[in-house]
Amino acid sequence: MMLGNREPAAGTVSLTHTVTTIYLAHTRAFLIRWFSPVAVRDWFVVGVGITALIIAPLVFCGAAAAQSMTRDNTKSRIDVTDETGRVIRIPQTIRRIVSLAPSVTETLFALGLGDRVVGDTDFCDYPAEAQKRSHVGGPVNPSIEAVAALHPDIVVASREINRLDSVHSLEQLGIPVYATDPHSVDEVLASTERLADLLGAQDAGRALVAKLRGRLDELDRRLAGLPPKTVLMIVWLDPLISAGGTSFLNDALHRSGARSVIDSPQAWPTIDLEEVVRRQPEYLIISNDNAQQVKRELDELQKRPAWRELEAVRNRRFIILSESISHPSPRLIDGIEQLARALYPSKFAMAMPRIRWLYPSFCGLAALSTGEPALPFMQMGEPL
Amino acid sequence: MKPMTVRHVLWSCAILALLLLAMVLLALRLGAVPFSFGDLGQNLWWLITGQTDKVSTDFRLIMVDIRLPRILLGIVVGAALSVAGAGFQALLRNPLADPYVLGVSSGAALGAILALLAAPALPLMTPLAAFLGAAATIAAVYFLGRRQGQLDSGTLLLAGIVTASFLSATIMFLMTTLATRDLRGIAFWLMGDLSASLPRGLLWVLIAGFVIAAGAILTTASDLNVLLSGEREAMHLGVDVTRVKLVVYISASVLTGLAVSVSGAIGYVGLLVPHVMRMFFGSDYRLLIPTSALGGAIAIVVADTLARTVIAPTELPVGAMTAMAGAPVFIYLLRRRLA
Repeated sequence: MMLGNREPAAGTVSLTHTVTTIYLAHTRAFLIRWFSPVAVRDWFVVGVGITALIIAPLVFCGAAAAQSMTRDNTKSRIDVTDETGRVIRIPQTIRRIVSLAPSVTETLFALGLGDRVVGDTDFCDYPAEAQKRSHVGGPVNPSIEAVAALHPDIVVASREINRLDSVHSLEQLGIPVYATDPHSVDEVLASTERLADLLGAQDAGRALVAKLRGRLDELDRRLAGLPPKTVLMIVWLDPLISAGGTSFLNDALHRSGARSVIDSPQAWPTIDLEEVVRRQPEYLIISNDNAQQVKRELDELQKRPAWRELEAVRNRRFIILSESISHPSPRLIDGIEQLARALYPSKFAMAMPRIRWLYPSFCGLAALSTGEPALPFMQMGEPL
Repeated sequence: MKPMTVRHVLWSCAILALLLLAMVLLALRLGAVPFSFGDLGQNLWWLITGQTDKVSTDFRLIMVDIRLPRILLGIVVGAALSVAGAGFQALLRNPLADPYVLGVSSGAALGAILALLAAPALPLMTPLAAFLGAAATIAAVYFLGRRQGQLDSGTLLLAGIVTASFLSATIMFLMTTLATRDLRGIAFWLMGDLSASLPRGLLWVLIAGFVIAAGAILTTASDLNVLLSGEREAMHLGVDVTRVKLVVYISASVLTGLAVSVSGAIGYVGLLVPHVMRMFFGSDYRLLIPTSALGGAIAIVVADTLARTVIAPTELPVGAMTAMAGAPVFIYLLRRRLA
């Protein structure tokens, strides 16, 4: 952008001429400085930048305006407190529910609300119908936009496995999230009944809970006066995690006539194997629907140094339960009954032919791995 | 060396800005809920021209309320981390320096955990406490890292690493002894995760903080160029070394603290992006800082789009994506340059 040097015309140099020349030169410099092709390119660059800077806030303002408009207050809403103590505002009639946890999905289906469940997680596999709902991802890291796209009236989560961040994100979008948080069998039933009330299925809820309580009472009668058996519930093998004081699972063990050898105030404590060896549980319990995996784990346990010295391992006192005992849903009662039958077979003499899930000699697993349905007792849902 | 002109900086940035814009459009298009480019353009146009009533509710919900804020957050976080990384690399004169080398992320994580333990229900507590934790760490490392009253690169680096490992150990201790279920999110937080949506206002605070801190680093850019040849040399050439180091230390730490407090510790971006930009644009800090900011933004937007879509609808933490993609990309670029 050098200034062209214009020689003054030979001969006279008038003042006017000089001034004009200077003005022309300045004008030319100005034009070159700001409007030459090179300069225009720079303008373009700056322009793109400024446009980008302007568009972002505009979109945001538009969004904010749009958002304030979408908040519909036409539906009448009520305030309820969820099980973690948060107050949420939900529509009076709830037609679309998204579940963020397998236990919640099971509860909703058990209440007969299955057709209102419009979305659940990748892990919701019970009942089979639940797998047909659109999935929003795993319970720990669901896609918030997948949830929002289903336009739920309410999202039901479980404090046990969902993340607080997901709850906050959904609330930010104006989607109410009800979180369940049961710590005992009674609280599982109470939570079921409460969900039923909330979602307009009071009658179904009351009937279901009454039936479940009846089964628990029947079980109590059968087990009355029996000395409890000591067990180790293997929630996770590596690292060894069991159920502790404040977990619903620990309470479920109690209800089945079992006592965990683990005494911990934590819900899911990591256990030192030394402690297990010292306490010598009578039975080891695994809750898993995958028979192959169970077989692999048990085979391995019998080879591991400290494990193979356990009384329970040496005598092959393993109890393999379906996954129902590890879900805080109405299915939990099935799991409790299964365990009670396994621990006290004589008390359930009438049901003996059906008991295939205690493997004192551990021959049963061979049958399981030959293509039979994973665990045949899974359907056992009716009262004793 | 060619003299650095404003035009050169502008052009380099414009190319990166266009790339960023393309990536943003792609990121808007992709996700668990599908949208076509036609829908996207149409709705965006209505939104920008103020015809908000024509915009479909789904678009408003998914794009405007979820994806766009997340992308903007990614842009700010990526830019902040990369500028901080470039700053620390100059300050510590160590090519391995990244925004977390001085323990800022561990301090922020500890703050976040304490907030989750004290008041889990308040949504804004976590980023606030994380930032306070980061600030406290910055101050502690500053006082530990001084020698004869001045910031000394070597001492600072050691003080930072020791502080970081001490804080990490404290975090592990808290997580195993307390095992509160509400701490589950911390695992994501330690990996870096953009999925938590934040209040709108917070994003503006972040942008303002970024502009101020990154601007401060940019003003020291030519001094940093001189500083590359050594502190003594820089001092003889008239650079106020003490002031420059202090400005860069504080600004880079604040940038890191801002980014970490909203997204957790997203790894690799702060380390790699400045190096990649050096390979493309040279090591002049006047160019390196703006290009790093844009490059970091591109990196995070791409990584987060992948994190959202690879196993959709389940989401990966974005930190897992940056770590997985970052290392091979860097090795490839390094080998190519050496070849």
